[in-house]
Amino acid sequence: MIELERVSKIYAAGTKGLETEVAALREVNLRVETGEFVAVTGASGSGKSTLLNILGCLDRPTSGVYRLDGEEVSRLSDTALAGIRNRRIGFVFQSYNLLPRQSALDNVALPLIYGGVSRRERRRRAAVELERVQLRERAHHRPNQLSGGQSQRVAIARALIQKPSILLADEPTGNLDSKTGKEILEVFHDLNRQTGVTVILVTHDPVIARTASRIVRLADGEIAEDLRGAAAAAAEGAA
Amino acid sequence: MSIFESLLCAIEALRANAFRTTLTMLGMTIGVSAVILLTSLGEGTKVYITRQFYDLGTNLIIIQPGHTETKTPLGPPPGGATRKLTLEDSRALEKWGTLLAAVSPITFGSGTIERLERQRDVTVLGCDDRFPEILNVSAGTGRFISENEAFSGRRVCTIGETIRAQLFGDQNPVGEIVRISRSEFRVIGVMARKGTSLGMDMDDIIFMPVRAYQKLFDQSGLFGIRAKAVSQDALPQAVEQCRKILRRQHHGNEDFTIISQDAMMSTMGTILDMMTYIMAGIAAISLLVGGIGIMNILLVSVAERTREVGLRMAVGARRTDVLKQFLTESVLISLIGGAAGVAIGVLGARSVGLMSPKFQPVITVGMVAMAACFSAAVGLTFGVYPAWRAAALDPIAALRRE
Repeated sequence: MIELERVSKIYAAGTKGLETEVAALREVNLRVETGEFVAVTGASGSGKSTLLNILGCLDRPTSGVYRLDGEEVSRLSDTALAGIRNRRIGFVFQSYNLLPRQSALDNVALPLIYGGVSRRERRRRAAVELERVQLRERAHHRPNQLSGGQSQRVAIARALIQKPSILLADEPTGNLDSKTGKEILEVFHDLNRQTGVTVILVTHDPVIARTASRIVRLADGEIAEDLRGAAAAAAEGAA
Repeated sequence: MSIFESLLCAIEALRANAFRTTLTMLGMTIGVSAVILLTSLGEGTKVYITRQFYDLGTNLIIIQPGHTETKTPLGPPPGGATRKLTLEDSRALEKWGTLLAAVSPITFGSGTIERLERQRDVTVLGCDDRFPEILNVSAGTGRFISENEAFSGRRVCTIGETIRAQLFGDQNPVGEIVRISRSEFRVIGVMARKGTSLGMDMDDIIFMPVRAYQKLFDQSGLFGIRAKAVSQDALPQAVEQCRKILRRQHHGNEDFTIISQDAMMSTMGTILDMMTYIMAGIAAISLLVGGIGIMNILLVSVAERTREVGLRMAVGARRTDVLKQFLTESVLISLIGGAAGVAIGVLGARSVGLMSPKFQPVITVGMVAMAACFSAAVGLTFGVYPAWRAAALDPIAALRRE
């Protein structure tokens, strides 16, 4: 469960002597229950990325409180945040971010290195995750031998390997053709249904957003719209 | 992240850029091999000189006329003698010097030796019968000067091997007459071959009784006195004893200088050590250059792998993990480079040893250990900054980097 209370993120911008403060998020309140499938939409500069970074513990709010599964994480140290990212959060990026010199299997196993898991156990668990995204037979391929869709599946398997409670996806279909994009989106929905993992997906594509059970639309660092269920499915151009 | 994991990561990263890695290692290799080679040559020189020195006898005490506060490793500077050392001084040392195994007066100069049509410029040395014992020489054929001859001044001589070969060819010189600086001398023996010691050809010397020398060159004093202590432990006391005896001889004046071989050796050793340090220091500069090379390549590597660092952080790498990963790479480069340097340095030193049978470079375990420690230290030192740069990256900015 995710709870944001009056979360703001303010950046200093401009040149020296002429600094201005830019608020990327303004006092955002958001509550996401475990197992929800949330699409976050909004124009560029609306604060989507900042929100995702804060939710993913890559960044801390300037003010406000962020509670993850009841624990306040907004004031934790870098090291503690690294541990939370490792065990409780899975990231999926638009450009996959696979390590080019490592096999699909080793890419999937990467978070386990930082979780202190033995090499043998890492391989075993990575194989299981690859199986789940139907890429078992590609385990020893390098990223440059994989298609875009396959690469994104590897990235999803990597995000899932520590059995996180939240899956954060930043435009996960942005680099894919529409057919492959649809397949990847299906993977997220299947995971959400089967494992109950909370999915938060940033997208500017209204078609994708409408498949979510909830749509949060940001504008100028504030939540402009928060639609659930049927309302979300009927939402018009989200961006 | 365990050390083992960091090591695997580092090996993989280094292998991915094998050529670049090799070039970077080369800097360390050259530096370490230069340090090893130069220190081993320095140590070898020290051993070589020490051996030559002790070749001239052990527990040696050197007494020269004149006293000065200015000392050189090889005795007082020439000139400035107030009172000469005499045969009486030498005899007094022989008589009272209980800690001395042998004493010999010495006169020293150059002269000519003639036989039939052949003439040769040689070093002439006047001494007594104890000289061979002190300076570690001996007659090979015939005999050396006797005690009686030494002080009666009979015109006999024992000649060096080179002189024999030049003047007599295949003939036996014992019993033959030669002219030394226009006086006739009878050859009573030939010295056993000794070779060159500290730049002096020991085989090109004529040994004659000290009195005969004084008469021949019309001198009353001595060039110096050489003595040998009964043991190495007794050397310092023997030096003191000589000082006491000679002061009494000289009515309380200390117008002479006594140096023990050990004191000379330690002065010499200090100079030689200094030389080794200077050479190693110069070679160590190349290690510094190697270290800067490592830092440079690591900075490039951090810049190239910014996204990778960002991703690793996103999936749970702590800043210390990132730091460790890059530091491991740096230390690995310098250690492997250093190990290759040790191998090349040792091989180089060995081949120098093979090429020159008399001079052997000395490689010690300490040297190799120091080189290894030094290269690890270089890796750590020059790896810290790039590794810190990587660890300080903001994961968000790093992930956004193209």
